[in-house]
Amino acid sequence: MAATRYRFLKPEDIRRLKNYEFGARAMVEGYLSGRHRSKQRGASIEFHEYRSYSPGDDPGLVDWRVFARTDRHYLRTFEQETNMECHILLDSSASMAFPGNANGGRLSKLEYASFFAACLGWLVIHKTDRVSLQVFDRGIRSFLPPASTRRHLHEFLTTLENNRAGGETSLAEVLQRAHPLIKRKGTLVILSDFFDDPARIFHALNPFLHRGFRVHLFHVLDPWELTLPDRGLARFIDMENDERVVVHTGSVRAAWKREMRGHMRSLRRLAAARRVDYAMARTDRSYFELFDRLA
Amino acid sequence: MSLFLENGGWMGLLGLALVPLLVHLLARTRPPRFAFSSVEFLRRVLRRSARVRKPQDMLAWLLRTLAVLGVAGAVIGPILASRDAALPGMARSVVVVADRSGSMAAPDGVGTRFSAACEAAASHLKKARPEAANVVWLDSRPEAVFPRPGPNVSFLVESINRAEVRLEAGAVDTAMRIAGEQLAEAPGHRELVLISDFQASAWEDAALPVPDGVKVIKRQVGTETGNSSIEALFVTPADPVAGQEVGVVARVRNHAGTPRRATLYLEAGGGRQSRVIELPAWGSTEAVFEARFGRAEEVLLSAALEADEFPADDRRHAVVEVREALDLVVIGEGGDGEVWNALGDALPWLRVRIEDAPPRPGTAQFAYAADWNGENVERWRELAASGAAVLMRPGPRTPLAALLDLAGVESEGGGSFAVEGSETGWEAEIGDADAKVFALFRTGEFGNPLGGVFRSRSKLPAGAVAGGGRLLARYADGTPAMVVWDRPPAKVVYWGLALDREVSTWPDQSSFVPFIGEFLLHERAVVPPASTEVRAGGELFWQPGEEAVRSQVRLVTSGGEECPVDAEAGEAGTLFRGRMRAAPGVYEWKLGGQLATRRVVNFPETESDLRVMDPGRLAGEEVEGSALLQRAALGRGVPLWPLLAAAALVFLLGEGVVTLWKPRAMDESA
Repeated sequence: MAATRYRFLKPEDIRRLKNYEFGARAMVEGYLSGRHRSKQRGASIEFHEYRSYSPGDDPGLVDWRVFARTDRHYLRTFEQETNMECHILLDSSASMAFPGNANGGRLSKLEYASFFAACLGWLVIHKTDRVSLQVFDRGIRSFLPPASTRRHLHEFLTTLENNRAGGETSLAEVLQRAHPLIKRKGTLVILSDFFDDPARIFHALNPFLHRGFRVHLFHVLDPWELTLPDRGLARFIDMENDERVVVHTGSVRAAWKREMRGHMRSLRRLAAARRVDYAMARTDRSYFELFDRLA
Repeated sequence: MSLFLENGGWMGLLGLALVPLLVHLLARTRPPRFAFSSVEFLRRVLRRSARVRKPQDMLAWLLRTLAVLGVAGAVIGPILASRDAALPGMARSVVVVADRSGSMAAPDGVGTRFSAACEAAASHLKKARPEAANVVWLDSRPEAVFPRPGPNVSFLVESINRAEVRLEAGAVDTAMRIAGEQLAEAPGHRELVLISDFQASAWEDAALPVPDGVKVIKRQVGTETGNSSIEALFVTPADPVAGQEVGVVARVRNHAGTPRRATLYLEAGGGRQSRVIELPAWGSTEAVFEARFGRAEEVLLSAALEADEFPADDRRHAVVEVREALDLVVIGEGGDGEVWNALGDALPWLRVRIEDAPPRPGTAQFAYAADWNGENVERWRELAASGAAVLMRPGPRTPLAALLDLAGVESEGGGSFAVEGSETGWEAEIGDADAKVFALFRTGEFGNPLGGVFRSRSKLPAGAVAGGGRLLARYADGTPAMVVWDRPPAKVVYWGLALDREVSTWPDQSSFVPFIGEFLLHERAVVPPASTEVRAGGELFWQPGEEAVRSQVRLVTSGGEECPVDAEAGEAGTLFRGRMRAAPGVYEWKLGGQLATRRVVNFPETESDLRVMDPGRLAGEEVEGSALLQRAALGRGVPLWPLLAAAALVFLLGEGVVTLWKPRAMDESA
């Protein structure tokens, strides 16, 4: 299990991950009886509730003692424990390659997100849960259905290694397309720089939330994107669509900071309203901090 | 320090100043490329910041521009403000017209308007440092210090410092003409500097005949102030007879917008009277003092007001010639002369002479023609024109046209007087009850002034009265008995009332003498007495009319100060002339130590109104193009450049504040 030939999964990370627990606070819909609670009723020792019998219910679940006392048919239901599914959506648009060659040794946003996705994938499979991966830009570039085998992990990590940043981003469109691909509810982890309209993003998330998904938004940002690098008068070239604009960073830095703060505040406000977890992932900090959000 | 570009060829080097500008305009910056995750966000930031930035930039640009304009204005403003300003190195000629007329004696702060004007004139000449300058003094006889503008500015300044105000009326037009002539020949940049209080009454209609290309600078001194003055002092009647009761009239004018109360004093013939008078705002009041002069002499009248803001015009003098008696000449023989002689005996102030022909003009105040036959009309007319009242009693067959011609009435047709008689006689009655001659008889105490019976009379057609005559008396049947034609200074009286006791009982009436006395006093021809007043600034002269020895004639002021006198021999005798200009006061011509005659000089009443006018209203002004700047700055002595420099500094500070100002960050803690 302690593979070392994968770029985004380092042995020291694996050793550290062994101490981590990936717990699902939300109910999952697993097919294996396991650690995670499920809203599906079935055989277990954890009593859930009584409910009236409806045609089609398993007659074996009828509590005859209650019937003897009340002359009515009540079913005795139990909570079923099952395995968990974690769906990872990795933004691979061109902007995720920032800061590129000018980084000064710092990870690009895509590399940072890939390291975190690899660790998360290993952790989920290590806990015998299932993990899926969708790499997207404007559309879904590749999709690995959920599974929990070693082979699946190999494909998972290989996909990450072969992934390259490119294309424009449209997270809202991607979420609409991803919804039919995800059969069972679970935990949805989105890694993106979210340079998109927050309202559209959350509008596209609504179907997942309606189905009871637990959603984590990790806003991957480079420190330069938070403060705007001091480049003086510079021609800024958009990494996604090659648009250009000449600005003096000194004159717009304060406004840029305000704009970014406003954007993040907007994302945070919308997330809180929908009970979605939102966290900023700075590429100059350890991605292990993000696992605290998943406990 | 002035810098001059001696060689014009170097002007081309000024083009080098454009090089930095061209480099700035043509150089294109190529900013380094920087790949960034989202330019769209950057654009949004730019759009939002531009909303604040643009107005801020516009404001900063505006303030910067204003600051630059302020600096430019401070540097080149004085040149731009006056299109005729002297350029460095250019010859400059300045003519200063300094007002030293009477109104300039008005107090202004701790000094007078004149002291402020002298200070301004000297200051201007010192600052301007002209190559040629002159000063024209504005008074009743304006004159220039130099015959033509000269370089000796220090002498001009010295003469300004020595100058004194003159209590005379200012001859503005003459002063401006002299200044114009001076400037017409002056070289280089020419300036006309007017320094005055611009008294409204003196400058209102003044014109500035300024030659082309002359810059006019008007400097107003003094502030408007109220004043009251004695405007006139005279006696009524103008040539009283000794013992006659007269009224001394002093007219006092208030040159202020608020009513005043003042005490007026009169000194006449050794007596002194005072009276409190009320002066309406911007109006005048006449105070009449009753006086009686006992002797025939020259009487000095002096009126004085309580001292006010401007004391120079609070005193006024006049000289009254009191006659010993009135002369009446009777022409013709008969009973009329006897009656007039009797009247001369009864009235002490009446001297009656009986002559054969009309007297020479000026030798009598009255002439009575008994049984006038219409001859010598021309001589009678001359006599009347000299100021004598002629009393004409026509005889039989006297042409009516002769009388009407003498009275100045256009005659229609011929005809002559018809004398008719009656045993029962006719009675006469008053024709004009309001006439002054009958005022004494209104109470009835003195009886009927026209009482008695007239058994002979001449008939004057009633239509003759319509020619401007006053019907004083008429007969009971309406026939005119006494008609007066006033033709100033002539006075012609138709006398249709018989005086001869053989045909008239009127002279025997008790009311006859009072009536004749009243008639002679009130119907005297009005002749202005020979003026003893000399215009302020004019010449004091006296012609004794008889051979006088030069050494015996002296001119002395009322204070006892001797004035130098020149003598000029002429056909009418020696004319003595004072060398000094007449200043307000009383002057006495003395002959052999005895007072011969007096002359009075009064403050000119036109100078008493101390209201001033806006110099900008003067016609022919040359500074209209930059009137605002001139009036605000140079014209009133407020230097403009510190204001412009201060404005530039304020704009620069404002520009700095606007540039450094940043909109408050919203929710910095978020």
